[in-house]
Amino acid sequence: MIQVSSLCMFRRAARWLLVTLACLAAPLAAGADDGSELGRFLPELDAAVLVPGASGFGAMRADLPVAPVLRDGQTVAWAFLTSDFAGTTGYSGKPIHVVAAIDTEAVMTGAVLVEHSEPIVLIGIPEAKMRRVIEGYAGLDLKAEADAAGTAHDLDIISGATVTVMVIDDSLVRGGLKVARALGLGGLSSVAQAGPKRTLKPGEGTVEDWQTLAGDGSVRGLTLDVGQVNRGFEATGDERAIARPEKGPDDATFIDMRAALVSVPTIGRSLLGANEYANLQGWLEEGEHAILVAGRGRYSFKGSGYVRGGIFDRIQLIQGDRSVRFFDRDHRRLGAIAAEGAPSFTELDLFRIPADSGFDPAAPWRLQLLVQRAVGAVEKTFVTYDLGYRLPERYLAPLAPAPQVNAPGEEAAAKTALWQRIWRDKTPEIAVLCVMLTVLTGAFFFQMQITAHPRAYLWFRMSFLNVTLVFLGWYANAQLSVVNLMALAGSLRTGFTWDAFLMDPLVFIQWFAVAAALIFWGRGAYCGWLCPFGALQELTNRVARLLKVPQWTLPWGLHERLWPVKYMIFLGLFGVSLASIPMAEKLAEVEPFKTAIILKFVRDWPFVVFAVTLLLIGLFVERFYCRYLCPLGAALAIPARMRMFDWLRRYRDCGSPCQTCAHECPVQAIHPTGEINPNECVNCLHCQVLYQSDAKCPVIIRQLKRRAKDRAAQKADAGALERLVGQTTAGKETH
Amino acid sequence: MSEKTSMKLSRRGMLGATATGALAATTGGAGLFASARQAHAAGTFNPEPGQLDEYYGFWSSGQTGELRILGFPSMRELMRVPVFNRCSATGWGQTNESLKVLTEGLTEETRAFLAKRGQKTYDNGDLHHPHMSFTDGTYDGRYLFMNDKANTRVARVRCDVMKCDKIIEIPNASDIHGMRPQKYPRTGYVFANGEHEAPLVNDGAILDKPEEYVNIFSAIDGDTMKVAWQVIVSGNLDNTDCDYQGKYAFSTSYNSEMGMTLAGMTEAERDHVVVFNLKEIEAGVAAGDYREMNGVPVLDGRKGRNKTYTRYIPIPNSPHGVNTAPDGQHVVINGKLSPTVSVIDVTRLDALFDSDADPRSAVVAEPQLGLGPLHTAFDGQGNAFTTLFLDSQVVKWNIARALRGEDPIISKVDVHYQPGHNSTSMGETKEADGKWLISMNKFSKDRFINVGPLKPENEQLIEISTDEMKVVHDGPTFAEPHDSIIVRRDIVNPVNVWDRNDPMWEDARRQAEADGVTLEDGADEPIRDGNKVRVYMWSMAPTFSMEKFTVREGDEVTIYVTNLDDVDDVTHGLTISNYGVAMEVAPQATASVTFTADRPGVHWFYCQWFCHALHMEMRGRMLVEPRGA
Repeated sequence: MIQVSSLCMFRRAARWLLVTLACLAAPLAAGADDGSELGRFLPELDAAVLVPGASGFGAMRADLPVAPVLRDGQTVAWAFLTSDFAGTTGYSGKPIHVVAAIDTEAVMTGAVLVEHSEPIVLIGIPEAKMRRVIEGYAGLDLKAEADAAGTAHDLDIISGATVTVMVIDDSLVRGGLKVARALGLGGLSSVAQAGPKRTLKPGEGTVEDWQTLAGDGSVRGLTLDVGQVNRGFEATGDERAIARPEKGPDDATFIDMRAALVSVPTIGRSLLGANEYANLQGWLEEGEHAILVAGRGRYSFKGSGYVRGGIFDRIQLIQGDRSVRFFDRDHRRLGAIAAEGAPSFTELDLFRIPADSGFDPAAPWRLQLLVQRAVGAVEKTFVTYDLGYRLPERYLAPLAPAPQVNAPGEEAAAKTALWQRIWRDKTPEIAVLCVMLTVLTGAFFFQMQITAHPRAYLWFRMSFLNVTLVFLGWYANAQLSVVNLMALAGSLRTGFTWDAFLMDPLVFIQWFAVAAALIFWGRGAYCGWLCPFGALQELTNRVARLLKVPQWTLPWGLHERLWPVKYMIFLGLFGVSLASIPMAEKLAEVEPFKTAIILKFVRDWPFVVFAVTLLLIGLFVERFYCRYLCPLGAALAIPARMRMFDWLRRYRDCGSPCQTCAHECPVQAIHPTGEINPNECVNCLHCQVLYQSDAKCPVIIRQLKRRAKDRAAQKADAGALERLVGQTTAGKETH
Repeated sequence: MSEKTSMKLSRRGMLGATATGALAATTGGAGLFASARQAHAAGTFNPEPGQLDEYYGFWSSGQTGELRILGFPSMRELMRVPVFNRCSATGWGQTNESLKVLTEGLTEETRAFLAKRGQKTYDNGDLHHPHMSFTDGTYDGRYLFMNDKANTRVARVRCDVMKCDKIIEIPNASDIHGMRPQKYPRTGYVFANGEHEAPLVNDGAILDKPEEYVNIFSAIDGDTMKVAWQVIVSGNLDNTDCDYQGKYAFSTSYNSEMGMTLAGMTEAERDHVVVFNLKEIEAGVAAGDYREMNGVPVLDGRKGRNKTYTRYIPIPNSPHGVNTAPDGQHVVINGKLSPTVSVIDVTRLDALFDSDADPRSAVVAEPQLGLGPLHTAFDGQGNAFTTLFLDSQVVKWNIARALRGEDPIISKVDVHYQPGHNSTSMGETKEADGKWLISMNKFSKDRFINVGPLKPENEQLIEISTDEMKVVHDGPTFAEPHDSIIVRRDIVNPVNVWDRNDPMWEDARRQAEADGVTLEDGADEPIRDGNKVRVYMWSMAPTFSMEKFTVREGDEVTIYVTNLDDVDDVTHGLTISNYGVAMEVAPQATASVTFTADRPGVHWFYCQWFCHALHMEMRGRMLVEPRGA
């Protein structure tokens, strides 16, 4: 057994050695440049490995441990050592040193492993494989990583070296972002924070029961059943993983995981109890935070594998582009949850978030769970799931009024740079949207002309709706949602900035257009033309009609009483959003947009069933959802009456006695009395087609008849006249 | 490693899955999923009070130096048998009877070495591997044998009284690690590996010349506890086992390189397992092909000596455990730094010796199992259980499938944490019954309430009757059990009281006879022999036969206590207060202790093993007259 012990001893000894070396090296390094180690590796490094054709390195910068990579005397990229910018402690307990270079566009040009002590060779993994993985980071676009919180790239996992690879990946992406931000490469800037910095409310807090904490979002959860996890692995397409499904019924709990930020006094005191909370406070140094993770079910969020490297390899905390991986020394167990009414868990663990991780307790974070599946003796595959966490507003200090006015110009510039870059990246999509809006505006301005020819108009409208559905919806995912409004309301309360809303150009432009359209036309411009789900309903209903699916017309009395449902839904959501935006966002799932448009029906079955049901009803009752349920439509309808013009033309006879338009109105927005209800109208212009229809509009028909009669009369008169004068002419002619 | 050790993991793919997960995200609605974990069916591993365990578990204690007896599968610790350690409770290492066991097997050189530091024997030991004597391939309940890695010793415990009766120091070898008794036809030999490399004559003449270091494989006669023969090998020796035919023994070597540093020891891609041919070695001894050293015939079985004593089978990368399967045919070598185990077919070994066949021809399968395979146990139904140290898992696999070249893995289970040895019930005999597996984990980490930086080991009980292994019990243990065996209770049959004729106190019996005293009757007064004083007492709850005795300051006093209680479990003791003397006297046993009466005055002696309602009153006075008074 001595070998086993000696392996561990080796690990421990290695750590000890590291500490010793670090102590020895510290004074030397300090003399050089604040402990940076890049200088140690540069002399032996070939610059061409980092940037093709590069000839060497320039002098290291004084302010930042980076060195210019020179090609033909020009700086083409900046080289840095990952360990100088991010934690790189690997499985061995020693740092994994990688030197990488980033060009001016914030794209990684190359990365090379320069020193490591990982015992990967001991467990049978050739070092070449590790080197290949690292070299694969050439081409990594850090701008994309900044947008996607460091998850925009594929991760190459080497089996048996999960921790090593994850540490390397994390240090390259995180370190790379730090360097790119510090140097302002690719338009990135060191300020990535949107909105004013929030802080925790001071004070000792209160003691709450479980129900309260779970209800207000102090404790948040992620529940996965066996079926979900099996489907998750199926989605990876890995045959070996699919062939080894988790056994047991689909609805068996795979993991029921909860998380809470227990360094917040109310949460900590409530969940841990007074004594354990005091122990926790004793454990945490200034600036450190801790989360409680509770779990039950067949999958452990800890597993047993973490012991070998001392790093928990199944969970990590992600906040923005930072991630925190927990070491065993940052971990302790909790015996029980003190809060009254707490359910029992099989695992209760406290994890300390180091002060130098840059964790912001007031900002949202997510706990990422790595679900492993062994697919061979030593190989594993993974899928990840996120438990999202946002500290409830009640724990945050109220915002000082308008702090953003004093925001340094640099910060504003950084934010501006970011949204401008996004707009540049999305230029083609923006262009198409602008064309759509122009066409639509034109159509409204020349509505009489465009609706003059029913067939042509039908083709125009169907084509437009198809573009809306396919381009705006399924391609660009630019579906407006009531969630946008709640976010807007939230930001108005907590300090509005344009930047947050400028980040999504298509949504921003659409909202702008909607605002304008509300003044001119009402809600219909959006609901009837630009809403992808509306288009989907109308198009499917159109097909149903072609297939002779009977259409149900709801009795007016019922119809009128169903209208308010959507307003109630909207007001309910709005009310909840005042208390908890995340909760309201969950409830906003009443909008099937996410399922039908953004996820294209690839989702858990209850959601798909909901969306499909709405569409099915829509086959019989056109735009059933728009009429009665849509909270977004309700929100847009409320100010609809303030529009400045009534563009839709009516005759005096409309409604009395003629009911043709009322009957044909696809959304029954025309009252039996004849007026068009602007709150319900989707501006499909069908009534304008009818308005000019010589086949259906009694006014036109009458007019035509009258004209015909007039013409006949005229003709008759003319005949008589002719008869009177005709003879002479005829006579003349005969002459 | 397979060629497919790396795979693409799409982070975008993850995000797809993430959305699904986020859907199911709840804000923690209490009680929604409150299904209390179902308790394991009672009665299987957790017997009702008063119920007997089905098995004996014999546990090592590593650096504590004792043997432990557990009821298994309840994991209730029943007894600690002091062996290499000094025991405060029983007086092991202080009584004359224990000192005889502890000293008679030491070499003269060691005794002189210890005398210089005022010691009679070592008071520490590192007991790794307890194994029972065999007859015809299964345990016979006679003896338990165990090694001391710290001070190069092998000990024997008598299973009738569960006391150690023999400890021998193994000459010529360094630091006994692997140790196993011969399985067939009987024990017979006890094989012992000298793990650490050293000069054969380690007197300082050779120091930092690793090329002249050797390792020694020893065969001890389990009946006489004398070293029968030793073989010099190439490379070091780690674990050992033997076959069910009585023909071969096997020892792994992780340092075939003879490296002296970690890097040097792990340098080679392949190390080896040494196969010892018992008949050939015995023939070699008979033919005089040996050098006698410290009274032991030492044969040369190193590579390249053209001998038929040993063969070296190359095994990938620092193999550790070696375990013979109950099928009598297969031996599993555990790869440690290689994710593989190598399966050797014993029927192919003859050819290695007879016709110099390629040693690797004996390896009939080498399946990958996981990272850090250390030891393998068996269920007797063709399945094997291998501990994966680095993965913190136990893997169940099928030997026949491995032989066919198929993926042999049936299932894996997480253990907490980093398992070393494992044992199945009766698993190292041909009577393996496939009911239980114990995984002896080297770390407990966060598994128990925290007891400070030094933490217990964790021995996890695993039910193996189905393909899905189930961890059913966590068993914390103090430093540091390495190995264990699990023996059916009908095989072990100890006595309840000692036989008065037991040889354990033969010296006391002789001395009493010389003094004209019968141990069972005691003597009314101390018997003086110059400045040597002998006190003969008997004890019967709640009295000692003497209420007081008087000696003089500076006398060498020997007290003999014979426990006349013939009642199960009425053990007495003798403790002399402020004299550092304490010992155990079991029913019908005699124990003795010798000390110098250096502290004059009144010193109470008392019984320290609770025996009677008047136990507190069971005491007497030792009066020590000052010198010159």
